Amino acid sequence: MPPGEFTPLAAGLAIGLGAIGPGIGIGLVGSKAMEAMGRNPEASGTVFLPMIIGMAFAEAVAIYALVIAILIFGKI
Amino acid sequence: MEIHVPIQPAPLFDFVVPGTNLVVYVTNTMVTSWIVMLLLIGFGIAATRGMKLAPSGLQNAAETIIELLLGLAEQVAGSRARSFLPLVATLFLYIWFSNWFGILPGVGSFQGLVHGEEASVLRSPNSDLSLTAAMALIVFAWVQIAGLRANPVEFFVKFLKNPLELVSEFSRPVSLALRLFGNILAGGILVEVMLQIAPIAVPAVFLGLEMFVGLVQALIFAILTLAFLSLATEHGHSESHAETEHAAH
Repeated sequence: MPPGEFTPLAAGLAIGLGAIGPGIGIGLVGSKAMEAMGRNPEASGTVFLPMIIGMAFAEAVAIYALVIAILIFGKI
Repeated sequence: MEIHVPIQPAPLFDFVVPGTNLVVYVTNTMVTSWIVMLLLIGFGIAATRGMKLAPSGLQNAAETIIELLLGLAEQVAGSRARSFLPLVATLFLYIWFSNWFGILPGVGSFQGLVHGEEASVLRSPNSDLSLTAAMALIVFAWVQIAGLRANPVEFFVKFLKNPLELVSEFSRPVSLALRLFGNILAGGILVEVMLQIAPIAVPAVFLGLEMFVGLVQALIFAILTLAFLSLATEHGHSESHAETEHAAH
């Protein structure tokens, strides 16, 4: 299919829809980590690193969507 | 609205390797990463020249950084952190420094004419997929070799037990490389877009955000490397399982 007038929409949808899941995921990780830190402030040091790693894994999915969006956008 | 952040880095000059017809392109990201490397190596040499037992000046600063990183690494890898630190700390310092170097004024905004086309003379090193992919491949090879040396049997058995391990093993360098590249490139595009929407004061907020993202991404790259390394060199599950069972009895 040749790039048409809907191609920018495709790029927008790719990153827009692709960001929903990671957004929810990072929100869940962050909320649970904050809860843990609030209940047990001494553990904030040990909670922080796994939280960052968990967020990074969730974020990677959004980055894949971004790469796809940029690839689609580059074709215009 | 036109955005001036091309996905591919621009070659500044190229030369042919003598005797072959291989063309080597020297891109603006390469030049920037050489500058970053020179600064880091210069700092390393200056900090370790004439080391004293009671540190002062640069040596003190360097020791503070290393101790901080060692403390972080020991949280993830425990007693093996010391042997992983050289690779992990180098990656962290290099990525962190090049991300922050990439948002300095002048990097990305100085334009030069290359073969009749405008191109940035300097560009944030990690907005080049080649660099992040190279680092991710180094990590990948290092993890495999470390795993093979630590427990050769487990290294092969885990693929037989669960063939999907292969997928997870090979998706690691891909996601490592794309995460860093995507974050830094998207940050550059974001600042550029904000510059076009509101040219005064507003981009400064996003530059601050970029500094945070640059630090966090360096931390994530380093910690994931560390986590992969410590997973690969862990002693066999059956062994540790038996140990805990033994302790329970």
